[in-house]
Amino acid sequence: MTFSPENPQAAEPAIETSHTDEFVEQLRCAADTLPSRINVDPQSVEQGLAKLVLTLIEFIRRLLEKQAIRRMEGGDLSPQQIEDLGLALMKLEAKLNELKTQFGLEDEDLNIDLGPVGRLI
Amino acid sequence: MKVYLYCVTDGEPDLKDVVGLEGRAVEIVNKGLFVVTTPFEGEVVAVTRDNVLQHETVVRKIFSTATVLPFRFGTLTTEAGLQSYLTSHDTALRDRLSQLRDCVEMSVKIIWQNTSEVESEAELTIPDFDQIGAGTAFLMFKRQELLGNERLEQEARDLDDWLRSGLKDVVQQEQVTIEPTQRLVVSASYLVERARMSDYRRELAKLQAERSTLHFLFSGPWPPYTFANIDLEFGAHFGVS
Repeated sequence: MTFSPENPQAAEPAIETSHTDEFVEQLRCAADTLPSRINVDPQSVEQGLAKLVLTLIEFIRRLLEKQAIRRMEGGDLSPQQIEDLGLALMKLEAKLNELKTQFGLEDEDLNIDLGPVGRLI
Repeated sequence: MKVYLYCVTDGEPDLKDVVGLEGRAVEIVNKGLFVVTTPFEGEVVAVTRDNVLQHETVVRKIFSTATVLPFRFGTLTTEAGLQSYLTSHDTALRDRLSQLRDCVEMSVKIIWQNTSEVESEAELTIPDFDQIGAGTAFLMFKRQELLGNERLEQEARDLDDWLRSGLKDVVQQEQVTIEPTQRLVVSASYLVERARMSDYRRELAKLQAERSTLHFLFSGPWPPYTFANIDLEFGAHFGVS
């Protein structure tokens, strides 16, 4: 289906696409990552706070990773320093994955939507 | 008793046959500007499909005959709070109504296929673990991933430029979100004059024909939710349920 220039004054909104299922799937994914309030239900408050804290840690971890790659590309690290830095970041990623599993969180849960600014990560 | 808010308009709206949230009455608060409201007991509006659709139905009904500044779904305040807001923001609200007069909001969403290509590229280059340690290999993988993401970001910026350039003559304002790492790469809202809807649709049809690999979703016309810019300001003053 193509977007027709006909009926320009239509007052009722219409949705036009040839890929309905694909968009439904993608919009569902997007809706799942919309910012939500912290749930103060005592049984789930722990997970809400863990999500916030882990999101910040993930953000900083990615910054460190980028910085390490830039330094590696810049040639100002010895092979041993690259190896040590890589191992440290690998362990940090593994630890974060472990914490995500413990709190039942997926990668996408930590990529919060900041509205017009876009996603955090 | 609180009041639930639907929209602000500068002409007295026709509320014939208009029913509010949960079947409640819809009323007008007249302070020079007209605010369409429903008296509401309670602190929070339930986020249900019916309530969201009813909010949209009320706003759209008013929008069919007048220029509106729609409130975000769930906006509650007190009568005194509303009066105070209208008094202190009268000029700003009138200016905004003037900017949106005879305009509608149109939406474009685009899905692309680029994310999977980057993942498969990263899989192709496997470091030789006999020659380097695990830490170095880890950083090399991350470097590939970063390069792939940078390429995606560049392609997404190109896509944004292409879309902007194609529609610049037929839209008044735009708000475009680009997410290079997602398949749903573009989510755009455009403010379009009613009188130019035909031009807008024609330009979009041209753009769609130019890029057959992209998947498009078009929707509208909607009340100008994205361009009203009153919900955040209002939320900051009185809170949104």
